[in-house]
Amino acid sequence: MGHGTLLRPNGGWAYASLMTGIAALTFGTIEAGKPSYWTDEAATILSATRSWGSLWPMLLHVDAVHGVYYMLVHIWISLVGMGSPAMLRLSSGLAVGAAAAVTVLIARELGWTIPWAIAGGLALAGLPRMFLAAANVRSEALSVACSTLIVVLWLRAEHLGGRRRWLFHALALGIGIWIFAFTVLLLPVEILGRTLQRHDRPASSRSGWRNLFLSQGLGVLLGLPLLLLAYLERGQIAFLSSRGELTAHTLFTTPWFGAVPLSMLAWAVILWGIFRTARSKDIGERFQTLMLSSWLVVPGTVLVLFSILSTPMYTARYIALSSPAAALLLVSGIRTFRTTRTRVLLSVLLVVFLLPVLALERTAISVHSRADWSSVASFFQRQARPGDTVIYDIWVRPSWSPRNVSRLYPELVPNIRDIGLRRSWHCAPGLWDEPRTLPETVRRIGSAQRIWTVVVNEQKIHGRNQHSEARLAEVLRRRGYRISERRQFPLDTIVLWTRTSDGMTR
Amino acid sequence: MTGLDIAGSAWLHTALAVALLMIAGTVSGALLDIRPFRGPVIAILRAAIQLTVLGLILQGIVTDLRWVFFWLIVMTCVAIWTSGRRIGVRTGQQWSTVGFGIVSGAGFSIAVVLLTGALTPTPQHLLAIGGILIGNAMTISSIFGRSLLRAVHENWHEIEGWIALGADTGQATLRLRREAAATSFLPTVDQTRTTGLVTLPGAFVGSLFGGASPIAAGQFQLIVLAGVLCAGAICMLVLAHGLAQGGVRSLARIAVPETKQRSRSLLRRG
Repeated sequence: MGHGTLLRPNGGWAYASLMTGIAALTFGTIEAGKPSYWTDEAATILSATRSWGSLWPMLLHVDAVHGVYYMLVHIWISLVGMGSPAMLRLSSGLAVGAAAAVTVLIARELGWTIPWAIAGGLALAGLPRMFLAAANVRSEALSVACSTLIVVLWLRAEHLGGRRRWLFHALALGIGIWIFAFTVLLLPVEILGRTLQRHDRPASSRSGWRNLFLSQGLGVLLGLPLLLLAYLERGQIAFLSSRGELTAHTLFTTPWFGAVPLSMLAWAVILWGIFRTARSKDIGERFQTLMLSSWLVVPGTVLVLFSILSTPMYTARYIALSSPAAALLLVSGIRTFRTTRTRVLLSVLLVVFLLPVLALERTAISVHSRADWSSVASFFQRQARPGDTVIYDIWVRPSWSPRNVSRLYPELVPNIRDIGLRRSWHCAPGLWDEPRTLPETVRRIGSAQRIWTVVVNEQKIHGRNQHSEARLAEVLRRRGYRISERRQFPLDTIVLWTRTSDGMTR
Repeated sequence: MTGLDIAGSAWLHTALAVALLMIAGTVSGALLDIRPFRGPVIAILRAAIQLTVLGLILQGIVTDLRWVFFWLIVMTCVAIWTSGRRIGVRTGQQWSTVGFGIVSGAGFSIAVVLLTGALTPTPQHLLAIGGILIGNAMTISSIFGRSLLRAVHENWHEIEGWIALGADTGQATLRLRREAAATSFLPTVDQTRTTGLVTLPGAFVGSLFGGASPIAAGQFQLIVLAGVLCAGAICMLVLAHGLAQGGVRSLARIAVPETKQRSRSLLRRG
């Protein structure tokens, strides 16, 4: 165990942790409002803007695993309003800041010095996955913050003992599970960590195991209702079976590093660090390497094994909770180089590879989400007139429906008549608006002069092989409309149809 | 169940078989009073974890040629580090020699295999042949390096005698290098000669389990054996030349540290 475990808490560490947290928060909020909202954020915002009375029935029907997070965002929106994406996403930025701050404390428990611990916290904030999470109204950032809290409390309890510490660990674990069900994947990490620690310290008592299991048991018990709900709603992740998620890219790049060149360099540094320190004579150094390695590897391994042997459930964002381990191992790898010049050179190289990846995540249409909804909303703001009619893509999956534009950017989309809407999302039992069928929609066209159609370009997003634009065009032409304007965005196409003079007679 | 298949519930059968073997092994060990009794259990559990992680890593890697190259580079670095440490090299020139030996040996063999079209350059083939050849080059490098240094240590007076007569390092160590090379190469040559008679080689069995026909598995094994011989020979050639190239002083530093001062003074006089 590292020498840091013997240190008493002091102002130096508290200050370092706080400053790192603030730096991470500031970094995460850079251009956070620029990328368009996307499908996952739409799910959060539509759920969180429901009334409490409407939210409960929805959670019993779908998305119970995100229920607590939706409630927290509901409270956040009631505090800051729906003013701007940047403001809404600040909640995630704060979570990343907290995660970075706690990562500093984890490094302290592992026996690092303050400068290296700060580097570890900043590395976490700099990971592309975390940079993305900081500008994403989704539970990812908060779940990472929870996982860091669980790990630091576990290490504190292991080092210093005491019922109260184990109780705090159990509470954090319970809360973590309510925020993100797969937080339970930290249980094998802790067990493995204790095994490694015990191997180094044979005198470690049985009571240590008992405390760990009791604490873990209590934490799981606290999270059990959520786990049961998650099991009942497991059909929600059935879509993963069609995704072919187990590739080199999804296993090694997407979870933390975002792009292949950066990923390869980072993995080389991490593996070098592990190789150099895993067999170190320094017990503390060896423990920290093995513990962090298991934190990095075990959650993903369990998910992949389940995916292969049972139900597909691996997706890169589920193992974001291992991000602090990736950041600390990266810094640990740099530490193993002896000369300052090499360390600086390597750090600069990593930053050079990192910056383009980060920059691409803060464009209006981010690489990650590919959503163009903010651009579509701005177009509507410029071109549409009050009283116009709109028909949104009927055949697309509801999460990708362009109707979400009007829900997420209501101030940019003027008061236009949506004739394809059967039931609004806050009245529906599911997450999304319920659309009408095409014949029902067409019957409601009436005497509209200007009709906008917004359809999704990519066929793979549709449930079946449908050419939405062609089908709508056929119907509207038959009713006497012709195209006045057409604008194609990366994901959606907007067409303005106006009625021809002879249209009335057809 | 035909062959090894982890789909469906077949992995339960695997778990059952491993558990029974583990229990039988542990009980047998306990009857012999081999302590700690849990040793075999821990070893098997550890192997299971390591193989699982490795399997998952490889599952991802074989889908992308870029990651295969990355993994081969990582393997090469680890091989150089391991072999260099095992030999006990100290200077940058010696590290370069070990590195160049492993890279040139494995690299040349891989290039020949791919350029002749014996294997198609798919990620799976590259990973399989690359891993085997790098691993074998590392082993041969370590054995040769240690054999040579032991020989230098044991025959230091002979080397001094040669140098006193005006020979350079290459001439002084020629016999020792030849003997070390013969010793290091022996296991590989024997393994090749007795293939199929004494042991079933891993690549052959692996290919069969992977669904290849016995003929195709035999072809692959033949390529592997020839590749290993070639990689080992080139690696030793580079090492023999490179370690001697560094001079007596450099060799003496790792082989006979206590004679450092003596060899320095000898070289100064020479």
